[in-house]
Amino acid sequence: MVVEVVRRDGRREVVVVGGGSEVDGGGDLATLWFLRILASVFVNATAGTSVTFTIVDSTNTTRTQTHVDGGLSSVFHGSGCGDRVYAIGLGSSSVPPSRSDYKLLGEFARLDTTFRLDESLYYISHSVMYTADVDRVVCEVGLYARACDNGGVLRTVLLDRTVLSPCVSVGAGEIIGVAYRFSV
Amino acid sequence: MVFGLLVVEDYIDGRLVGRVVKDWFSGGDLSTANYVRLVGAMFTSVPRDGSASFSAVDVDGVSRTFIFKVSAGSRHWFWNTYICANRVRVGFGSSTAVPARNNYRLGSEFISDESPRLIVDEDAGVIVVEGRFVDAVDRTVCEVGLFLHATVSFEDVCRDVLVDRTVWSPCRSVPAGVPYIVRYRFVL
Repeated sequence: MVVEVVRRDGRREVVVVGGGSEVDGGGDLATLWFLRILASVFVNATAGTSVTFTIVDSTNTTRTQTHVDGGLSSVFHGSGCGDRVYAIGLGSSSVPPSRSDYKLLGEFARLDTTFRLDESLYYISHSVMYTADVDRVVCEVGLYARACDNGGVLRTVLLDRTVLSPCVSVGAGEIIGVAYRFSV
Repeated sequence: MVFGLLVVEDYIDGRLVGRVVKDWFSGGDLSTANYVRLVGAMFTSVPRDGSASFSAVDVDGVSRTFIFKVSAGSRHWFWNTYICANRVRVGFGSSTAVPARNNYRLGSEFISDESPRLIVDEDAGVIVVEGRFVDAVDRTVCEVGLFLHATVSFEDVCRDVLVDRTVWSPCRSVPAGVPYIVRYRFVL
């Protein structure tokens, strides 16, 4: 995950949290297919839209597949129940992540993400840019999935809560960017 | 925490022979448990007409069920089990050619595990897909592959899709009758 802050004077500060890619990073066909299948889990799809990918199967035949089905409203890979769009939250709590956290503890903003699939660098990402309305201290960020449950209702589920140490101070009018990047 | 370490490691007769680390990270909180269940559902093998679900606690603090694989939807939906099983397969081969952009299968596959073991460890934030074989003849394992078997086209065709090919260097010599195991370990 990458957190970037743009100060009022234009200076950029980057805080990298967690693991950077150490090894590998793809280059082969199999990794590309895994990336696309993983992308189908994380892709943003507005209500009723489908998402397709192509792959080459084990008989060397190119296939076009539906991964998110806009006609389905009660499955994880359906968008029939609403906007299947991920979100990133920002909050002020510095309490360490625990088994009881189902949302950020001091959340003051939650924004729909921009999704990106980069097949040349073998990663997918969700990112947001937040402009502080007032002075803020960002101590936690979280990644939320939105998906249809088995009853056909769009639900929001926290998939990651990360506590920043130290917290990041963002002045009113300054911009903080958060990106979750999944490399394969 | 979020993705992700992929460790591919292999065992001959229970002894660790080698390991390839393909990234890293780790966790143990509820959000990680949610994520582990989600990815676990992705790697759960189900037969034709079968289904796979996972539960996760939503932002209201309520546990919800999400259906990941099911017999429903359009015929070319990858996660549909209407015509095809949706399962994981691990292949073993003897080719030493390095992974490339044109590998849609193993270079020289000689055996596979059609029902690899799946371990979903929510506390550790780890998912393991474990493939194995015991053969009646001596084998040299130079490559292993992780496949997803699924509906791959509008024509309701069931096929394998190779999602990882790993080449061991050096190759592994596996005597007849000795179990060989490869573990794909995803640390989330």
